[in-house]
Amino acid sequence: MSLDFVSILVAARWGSVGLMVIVLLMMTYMLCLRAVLLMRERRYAKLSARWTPILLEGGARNPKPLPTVPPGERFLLLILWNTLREGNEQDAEICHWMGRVAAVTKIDCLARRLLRRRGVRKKLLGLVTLGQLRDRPEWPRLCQIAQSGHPLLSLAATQAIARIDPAAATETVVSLVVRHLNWPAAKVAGILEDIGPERVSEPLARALLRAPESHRPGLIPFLAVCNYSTALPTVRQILHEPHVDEVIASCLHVIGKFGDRQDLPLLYRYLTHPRWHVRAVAAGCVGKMGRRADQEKLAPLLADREWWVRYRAAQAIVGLSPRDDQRLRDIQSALSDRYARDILTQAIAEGARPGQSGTDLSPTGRMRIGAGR
Amino acid sequence: MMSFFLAAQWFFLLYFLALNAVYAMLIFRALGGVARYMQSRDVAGLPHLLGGFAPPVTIVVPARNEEANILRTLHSLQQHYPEYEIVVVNDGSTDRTLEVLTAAYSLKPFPEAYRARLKTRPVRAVYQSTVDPRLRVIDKEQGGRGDAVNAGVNIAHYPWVCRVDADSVLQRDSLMLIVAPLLEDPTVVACGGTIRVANGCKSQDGLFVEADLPKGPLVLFQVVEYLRAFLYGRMGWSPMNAHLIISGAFGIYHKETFVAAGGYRSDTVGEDMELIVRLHRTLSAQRRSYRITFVPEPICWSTVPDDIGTLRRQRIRWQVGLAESLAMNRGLMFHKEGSFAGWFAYPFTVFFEWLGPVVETCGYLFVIIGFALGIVSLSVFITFMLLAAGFGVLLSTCALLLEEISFRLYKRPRHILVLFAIAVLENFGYRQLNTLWRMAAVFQHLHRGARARLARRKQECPA
Repeated sequence: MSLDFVSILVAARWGSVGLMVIVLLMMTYMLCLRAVLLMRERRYAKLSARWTPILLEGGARNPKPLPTVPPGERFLLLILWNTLREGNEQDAEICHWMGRVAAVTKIDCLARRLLRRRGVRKKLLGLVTLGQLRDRPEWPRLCQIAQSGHPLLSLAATQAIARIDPAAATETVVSLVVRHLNWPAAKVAGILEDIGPERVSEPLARALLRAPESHRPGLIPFLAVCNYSTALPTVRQILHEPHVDEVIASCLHVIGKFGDRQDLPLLYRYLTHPRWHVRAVAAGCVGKMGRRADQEKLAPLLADREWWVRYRAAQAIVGLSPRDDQRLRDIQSALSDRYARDILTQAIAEGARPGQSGTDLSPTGRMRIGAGR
Repeated sequence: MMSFFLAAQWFFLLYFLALNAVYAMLIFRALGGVARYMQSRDVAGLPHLLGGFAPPVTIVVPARNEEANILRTLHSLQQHYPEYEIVVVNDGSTDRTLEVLTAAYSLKPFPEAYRARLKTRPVRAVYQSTVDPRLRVIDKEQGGRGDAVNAGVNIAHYPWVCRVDADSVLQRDSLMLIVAPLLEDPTVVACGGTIRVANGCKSQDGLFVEADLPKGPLVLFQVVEYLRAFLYGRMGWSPMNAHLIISGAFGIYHKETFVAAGGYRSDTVGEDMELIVRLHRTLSAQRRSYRITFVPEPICWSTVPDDIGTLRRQRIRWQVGLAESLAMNRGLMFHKEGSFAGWFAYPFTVFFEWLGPVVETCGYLFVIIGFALGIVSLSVFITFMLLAAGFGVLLSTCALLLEEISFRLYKRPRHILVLFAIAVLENFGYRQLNTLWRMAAVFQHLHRGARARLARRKQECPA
């Protein structure tokens, strides 16, 4: 055996002793960690049992001075406060009372301090709390975080400023939405709804018309939260010019959402569009907004080469003649294409089954407001 | 002879160091990944930062001869989730699976006009439940789990497809948790869930209630194995977008990507791993920006074998599946667009996961034979054994530590002590047994490959 290997052997022997020491240290650390956590859990359970009734019963039923919160428990109270605040968003009385409790127990000061911490988790907790508290003094700091590159922090800060002062936040929020197309769309839609259609419509429409073509498919769906009087003229203006089919499909979705029959002739044009998903969306919109006479315009699409177009057309035809089985059978018997008959059979059966929502599915899996990406 | 032994000593030493260096790197990556996940988890749990915009999902449940489990599984699929549908695929069951479903959910034949974009064994009928409008059942000829999932994907309405095996136990929020990465990152095309051992745990009506440790040592060994595999195995590879498997028990896929890749193959026993390796190969070759990720949170509970025969068959099947997945996608290895998956995870899997059992067994034999022949001294023998066991214990303890700083599923301090004892004991017998089974699988796969090649050659030159 070579000398080199002997020295490696000695090192290996010491290495195995080292490994055992490390393992024992890790084990001890785990047990200590578990003990600390159990203590913290007990403290939280005790705090929760004491404060949950106080926070939820409102000021009228809590005339006594509030219990004092030791500094070590303030962070736990902040977590409990947020949990209960989220669950009682709709109850104005409880929200108002919880705001007062936050001021008395100084958890608002703690939330402000959390904004200056390095940890993302604590910063987020601070941001959400300050948004809930409508805390104006931290506005510049919140705007600064909203402009930061961190996806979660900037989104949470944007939501906070939208809650604190919707009017002052509108322009900032719209510019941030245009910049962060990767933000979850439904979350963005929720923020825009919080600000309100009357405030957000004009800036969003302006931003959309200025935005490059590549940004538009991501932004157009947000017009659905705008005023009718702003959203429809904007999409009509966009559709006047030639665009990539994603932009057209997004515009058609918005048209379908508002359902103004004045737009039906525009939709008919897109029933014969060369791209299949534009045809599918147009067929879905005609189904929502059209009249029975439009079934004739939709019937040729039942034999479309693309399944989704056939499916949307079939759903639309069934939707335009609800509970008129005879008429649907007449349409079916006039069809010579087997696939067209099959798809109509399925749509009729779906229309008849319980709890079927029908025409709201997206063929390409692309985002629609409230349904993910 | 001596020079052979010397060369062999160096080979085993370097192999051992390289293997443990990669494991150490995975642990560090996993620590960072778990810490980041815990941050976002707190955020998602507290203020509804990630709630309320979940994409609609089709849950596909392949079921063959599952009359005993299927209703429990369907019950566990009643998820806290805004919009989803369930497609159960009865894969040529010879028991009463279809009858049980028909009676419980009042199934009626439904004229589904779907596009069969993925080729599958013939579908006999599609049924629609009249009591739960979200449930459809496909009755088809037997083609294996992958084929059954492909049939389910063909009739899926929604853009995301979640595969759940019929023997899995879920939580009410499992679906909500597995979609979180899709919401955070629009390039995610597939996401796996962490699977834990269901044996010994408390469940009610098919839903997980509380974690507890099983009684038998064989199952306890598997509890530690699952902790290792998921907490730092997959969590370590995930930040590099390089993990090569999403378990068939619970995983979610972007439907269009799944279909474009051709769905599951039915000619392999490891169709779940094969699909993920193929996605890496094809998507990276297309230079597409994509992520295949996974949720470290325990969200699916699976029953593991509690007898040695079933365990042996399972491990052999897994090893053969791994070998087939690698062989079918060898183009990924060192592909110029292959990124971490092609340049790191794939070679690691070939050299340490596929060939590992052979090298490990040779290492043991080498030390034992050398000791018997007097070439290896007692001190070398003991040091080798201590070092091998020491690293094994360290890796398992790291997994326990990761669990302790994150999810703490096993609530009692006694559980930690039991798992630690198991982490030590598994290195004396269980690990070696596993290595032998896996080595047998390697030879089985090589033998099968040789026979297939011979058969092909005979077909090409019949004379």
